[in-house]
Amino acid sequence: MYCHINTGGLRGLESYVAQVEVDISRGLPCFDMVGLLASEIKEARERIRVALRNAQVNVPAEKITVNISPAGIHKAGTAFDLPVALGIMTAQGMIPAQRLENVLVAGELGLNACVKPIRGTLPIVMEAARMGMKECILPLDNIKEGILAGDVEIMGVENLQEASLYLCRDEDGRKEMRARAIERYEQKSEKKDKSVSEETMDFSVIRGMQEAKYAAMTAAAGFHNLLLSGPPGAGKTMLARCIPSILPPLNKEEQRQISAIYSVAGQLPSGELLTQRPFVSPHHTVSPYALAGGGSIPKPGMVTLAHKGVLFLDEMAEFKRSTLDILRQPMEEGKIYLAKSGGNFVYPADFMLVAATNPCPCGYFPDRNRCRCTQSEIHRYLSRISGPMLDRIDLSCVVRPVPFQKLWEEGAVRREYVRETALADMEWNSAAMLDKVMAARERQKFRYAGSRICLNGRLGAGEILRYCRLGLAQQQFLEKAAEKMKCSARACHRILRVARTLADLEEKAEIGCQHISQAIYYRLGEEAFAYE
Amino acid sequence: MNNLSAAGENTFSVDEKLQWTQEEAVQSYLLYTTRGIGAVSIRRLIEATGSASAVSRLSQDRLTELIGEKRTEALQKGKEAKRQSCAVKRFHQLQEKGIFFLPYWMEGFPKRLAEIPDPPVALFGMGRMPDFSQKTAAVIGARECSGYGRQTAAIFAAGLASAGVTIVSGMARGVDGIAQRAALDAGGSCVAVLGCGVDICYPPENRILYERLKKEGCLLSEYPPGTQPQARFFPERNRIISGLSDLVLVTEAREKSGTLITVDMALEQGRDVYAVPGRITDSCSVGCNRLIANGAGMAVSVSQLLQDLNMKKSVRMIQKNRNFHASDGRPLSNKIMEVLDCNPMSLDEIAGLLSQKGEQITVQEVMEELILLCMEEKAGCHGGMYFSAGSACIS
Repeated sequence: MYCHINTGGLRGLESYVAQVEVDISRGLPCFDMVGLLASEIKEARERIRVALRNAQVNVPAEKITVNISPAGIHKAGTAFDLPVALGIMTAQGMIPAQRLENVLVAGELGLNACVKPIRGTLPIVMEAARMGMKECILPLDNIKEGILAGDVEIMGVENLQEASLYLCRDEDGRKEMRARAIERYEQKSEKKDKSVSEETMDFSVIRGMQEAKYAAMTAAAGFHNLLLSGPPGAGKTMLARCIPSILPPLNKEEQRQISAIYSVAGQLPSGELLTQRPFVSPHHTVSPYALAGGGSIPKPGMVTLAHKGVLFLDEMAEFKRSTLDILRQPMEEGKIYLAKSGGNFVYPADFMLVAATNPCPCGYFPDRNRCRCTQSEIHRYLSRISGPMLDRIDLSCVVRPVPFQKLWEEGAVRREYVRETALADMEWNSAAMLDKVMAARERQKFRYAGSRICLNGRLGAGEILRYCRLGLAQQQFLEKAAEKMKCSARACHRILRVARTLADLEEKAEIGCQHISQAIYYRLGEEAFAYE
Repeated sequence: MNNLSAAGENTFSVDEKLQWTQEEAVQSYLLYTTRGIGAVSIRRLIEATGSASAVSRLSQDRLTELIGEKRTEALQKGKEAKRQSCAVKRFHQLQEKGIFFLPYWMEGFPKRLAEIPDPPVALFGMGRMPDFSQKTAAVIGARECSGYGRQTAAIFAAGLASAGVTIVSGMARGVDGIAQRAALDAGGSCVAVLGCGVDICYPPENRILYERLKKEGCLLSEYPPGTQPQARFFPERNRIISGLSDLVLVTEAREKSGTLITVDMALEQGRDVYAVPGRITDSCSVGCNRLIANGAGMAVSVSQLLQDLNMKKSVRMIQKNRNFHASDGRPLSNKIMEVLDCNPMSLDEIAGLLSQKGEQITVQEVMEELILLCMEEKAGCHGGMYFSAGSACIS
């Protein structure tokens, strides 16, 4: 007898609805699975056979053929165990076949017929909803993720028997089982001790360093890339770790998108939507594939995991140059194009790059009392960060160590400079800075309403001319400055982008000379990267 | 050019003298590049005859008498027609490249240099040879210099150059290159003595300076063109730097610095040595301070150095200083200039000092003002640290 059952598969970040077709007919007893399957699915035969037996289901001594269609797509993962097992039961008439219409089933089976969690639930259920499925049967551990996806009834099951029982029930019975499943899930997750989530740091713990804090705030407001350089122990890493605390919270759409990425990567442990912006900090030995996404059907790499969040490269000059240059395309386009043997994939990778580096191999340049690195050593060290890479970093800031006395001063945030300007009397803690960032974002949103872009850091050359209009005085000032500081056209564009954000932070409609000179200030740190 | 026929020795007309010079240069070059003939032999030959052309006409017996059998053989070997035409060709190639060759017995060789113990037998050069009868100063210092070292090197080099003093240095990284750049910028004359052939730019990062020196200054080397730099060449090169100068100024040197080799040579040659004092806690200035303690002159200002060289302070310098003092009506910039000094400071330090003084200024305002000051070249920035670029205090 033949039957078919809907299930979902992953291909990169995208998912598709697949059909598991099961046919049991007379012939020599055997169990074949076809449909361009990876070895973990072929191995599933043994898992399913034992699981069925342990669930007191008879595996008929007949010819069992399973096909997973569309047969042209290469399939991987363990989500097909449960639908195949249910398919065999249906083909034997243990489950009414009409019940399986508009139901999607996914889950991994254990030998004792228990159902184990799978990767990528969120995108699979989202796709199921799009394809008009009414119900989904998922592992109990993934139930929360499924519910987040949208307009589909979700049933979480713990074992095979429960799944078959659910399918045999009528409408009311199913509803009741669904409610009970959610209850059970909640009890279960309460029992698990909640892992303490890594607390983001607050800017108020950083004393002094207003120049760097202001740079961080500007970067957050305009989603500019930021380069911090300074001697070891100056607080570069600390600053970078604080940055997520001043990024605006994610909206629902972004939450869903990012959670889907993490779900595919198998990094959505709590089964809840991510509300924090990602902060991804790869070690400098990271391989190009780990950074960009690797495999014939690539898993999302670090750049994709940092989508809409911060990609922090600590000790940037220690990364391999070839690894760093991978970042050029995502930094330009906000996505990464991966051409692999399994096909071509486009993954989102719109991140804010925060890089930290020492100014020389020993770290103390330009303090010549401590640093004896030669000019060529310094050049060799910094040359790993290529010119095109630097071109994409709008803000660069030199972080100087805070004097010892300042660290021990009483009071966490002392107001040091009082004056009646928009920024003068603000306190440099994350909450206050976030307010400023939000206001600046609001201004940008209003200005760019209806256009392709929404943030200053993403302005292209043509858009800069349109949105960063300068008055005559400002234009002359920029010309003079560009001549003096030997700025290229591209450097001028970066100055204008940053100046736009600085004006937004000060709630000014027009870019003033002061914003231009501040933007130039945040370029000067980069001078160290130019050959003398 | 191709007319290389022997000229009479008692020639007086200008044309003929020029031709003789040309002939002599070729002969000198042949002598200098003959394998197996060293500086001592050349000196002995020239002392006996007076010119390379005369040497070429010496009899074998006389040669043996002067430099011994072995070297005579070498000299004869060098005279083979094939080798000779090859050397002549090379010499002309050099001329086409704009490289001149100047042995010590020809006119134009710096007198001061000829007087030192162990002077170079000949110099190769590019560019325009400055007038070495004028005052000449060597500005030298560490390769890995601090902001202070850069600044003082530039101030002294520019000040001396604009007063008409020729600046000599080694085109090395750090102080040397900075001093020479400043001297050229000031429109002064400037000489670089290299530890490699004059057609080779070492260190490569000073390419721009090298090209400028070719056009606006002068490059000298005792090594034949094409010679790659070698560590042992540099101390030898240093004796030429000090030998060319009336005065040797060290702007920054650590306790064990290569610069001190030059100083030793300068003392041996009887040159005045000056050092720029630094803070005693700065490791970059230890060498300089020790020199002062041991009796070197203390370079406290350009005008003092000029005085010691018996020169007048240039008019241009004075004007520049006046410009510096002129206030332009931005109160904040003056306040910042009061706080800034030669010692580089970070923005937070500057803002901290201002707030200590009771000024109520935001970091953003200080930022803006610093950029303006940098644009006006009143302040300088190096690695994110700011300093006063004013030469007011020392000129």
